Amino acid sequence: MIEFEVSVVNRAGLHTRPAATLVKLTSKYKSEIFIEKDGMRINGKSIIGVMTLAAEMGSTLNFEVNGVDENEMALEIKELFKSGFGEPL
Amino acid sequence: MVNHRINGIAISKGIVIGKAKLLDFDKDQKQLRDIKTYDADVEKAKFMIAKIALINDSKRIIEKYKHKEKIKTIIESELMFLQDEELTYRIYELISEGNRCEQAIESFFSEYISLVSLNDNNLSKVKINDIQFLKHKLIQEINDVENDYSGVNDKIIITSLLDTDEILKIHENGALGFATEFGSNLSHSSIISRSLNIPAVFGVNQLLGLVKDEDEIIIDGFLGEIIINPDEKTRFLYQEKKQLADEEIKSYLDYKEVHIKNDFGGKIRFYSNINNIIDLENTLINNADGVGLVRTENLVNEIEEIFDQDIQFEIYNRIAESIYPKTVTFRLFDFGYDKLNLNDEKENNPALGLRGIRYLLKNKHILETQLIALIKSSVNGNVKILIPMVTQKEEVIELNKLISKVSKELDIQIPKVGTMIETPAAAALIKQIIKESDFISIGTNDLMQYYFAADRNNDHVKEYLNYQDKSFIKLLTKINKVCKKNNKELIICGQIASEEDSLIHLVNNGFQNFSVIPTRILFLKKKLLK
Repeated sequence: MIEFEVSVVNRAGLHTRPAATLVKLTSKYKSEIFIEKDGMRINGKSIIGVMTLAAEMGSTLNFEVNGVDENEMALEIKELFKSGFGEPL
Repeated sequence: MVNHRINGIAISKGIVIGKAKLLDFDKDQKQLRDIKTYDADVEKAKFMIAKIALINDSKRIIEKYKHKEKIKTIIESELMFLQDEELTYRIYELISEGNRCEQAIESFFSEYISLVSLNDNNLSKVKINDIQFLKHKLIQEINDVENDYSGVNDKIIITSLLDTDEILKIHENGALGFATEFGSNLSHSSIISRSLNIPAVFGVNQLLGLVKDEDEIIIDGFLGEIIINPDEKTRFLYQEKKQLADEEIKSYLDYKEVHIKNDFGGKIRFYSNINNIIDLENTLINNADGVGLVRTENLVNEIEEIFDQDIQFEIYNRIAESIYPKTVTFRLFDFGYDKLNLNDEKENNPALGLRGIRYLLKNKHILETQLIALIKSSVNGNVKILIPMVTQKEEVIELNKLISKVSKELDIQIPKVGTMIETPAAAALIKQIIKESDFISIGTNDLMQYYFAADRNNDHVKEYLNYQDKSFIKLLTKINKVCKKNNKELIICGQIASEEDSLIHLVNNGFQNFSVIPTRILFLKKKLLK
């Protein structure tokens, strides 16, 4: 199991499009994924869950991934957040 | 509930008074189905069938718009929502607890929305609207019935949301006007309402919970307000207002084709200020000489659009095409201060802070996206670009360079670029700035507040903002002279041009071009001719 933290850096926050991008990514992997923010914990493969977090710019998300391809998944998630989902920072 | 007033979005002008007819197709259907017996498996199957139908729908739309990235991603996220196991899991759970399918969907979405609201941020309202559309789609799919339009004749329609088809049918069936709980003034529905001349107000919060069938309703499409069960006095006032509005509009229409000249034989031109599509339509209706100022930051509906070239192009192009062959002047995004403020850090003095061109030069990706969209929409040669909040001639030079670079890359002729004079520094530098500008626009509201150092939003210093102050008019006159000498057009924007007294004063001082709200144009023409 890997645990890590990421910050939301794109200005518009984790709105519909980035949420969909994230879920598309996590769904590719076999590993389980949970995301936690301010005491709320959701399944990272559920767009409903991700959008419920309503994470805005500057907020921090705690990830917990667990499974056979956890390393690759964690790496790709970190990259995605770092790039600001391809949106202006 | 007596004399209850609620605000919404003013969609289509006019006042109408009549009895309410609720058209909540979802609810009608629910009542019908309440008679039948409840069977959890049947309810689950109903949900599953509706879900699969919508999933197939989404897939078809995605295929159709596979080259339109924006539409595709929106529908894709809807598809993911529908396919999300949590949705089905929770709906089934709610059905097993004894809820019918529609009730389960209602509960699911209200639970979900309250969760999102818990993590409140400035985007959640937009999200909630998107989610509501999905709920409506699901419930409509489940009901799968032809909507019943009987009984709308001579009624005011109260409903959650209307699509264009429904508006046309309601109109054909004789409805007087309508109010909806959701909707925006940029939607196709709002455009249809205006072209049919039906008074309409959209986006009235909690509307369906507040109105009953046969309640008396006043719709004020001018102010975007509805009044439920008005008292005697209010009804009387509105009857008068309605009559006045109808007569007033008629009396101004005579001035549509009238052209006015000043004492020296110079033509007086009235351009319009545009904040939204309604203003654009009013520009055409009132026969403005062109669009003098589009406040582009007000056209932004969602923060994402600031970064989206296609959406921007679509709306700029629509404005440019509608007004052709007359011209339209787009002011570059004037973010900051009392407008949409994207600055990360709180500013102690935002009026003197990072706004207008200052913000754009520090956020070049936003500036470039907007320039590309604007220049693309300028192919017919009737688009001009205006630079806000200039204090140095170097800012104008830098913008000119950027605009000619983008134009070259797009292989489109460079549009005219003008400077907005709204700071005392720019006014003082007019002789230098004019050399770098194709035209000048004076933003008198800001120029006045900076000139007199008096906040235009502060009532305590209102008396310092004097439209007819001699030294201020002298400053404007100096700018006018420089423009005339250099043979460059000058447009006066701001409240000073909208008030009849100060307008007459300006006309007498040799000013010829004014940009005002479009609905004010015919009134001002009438006053000038008196």
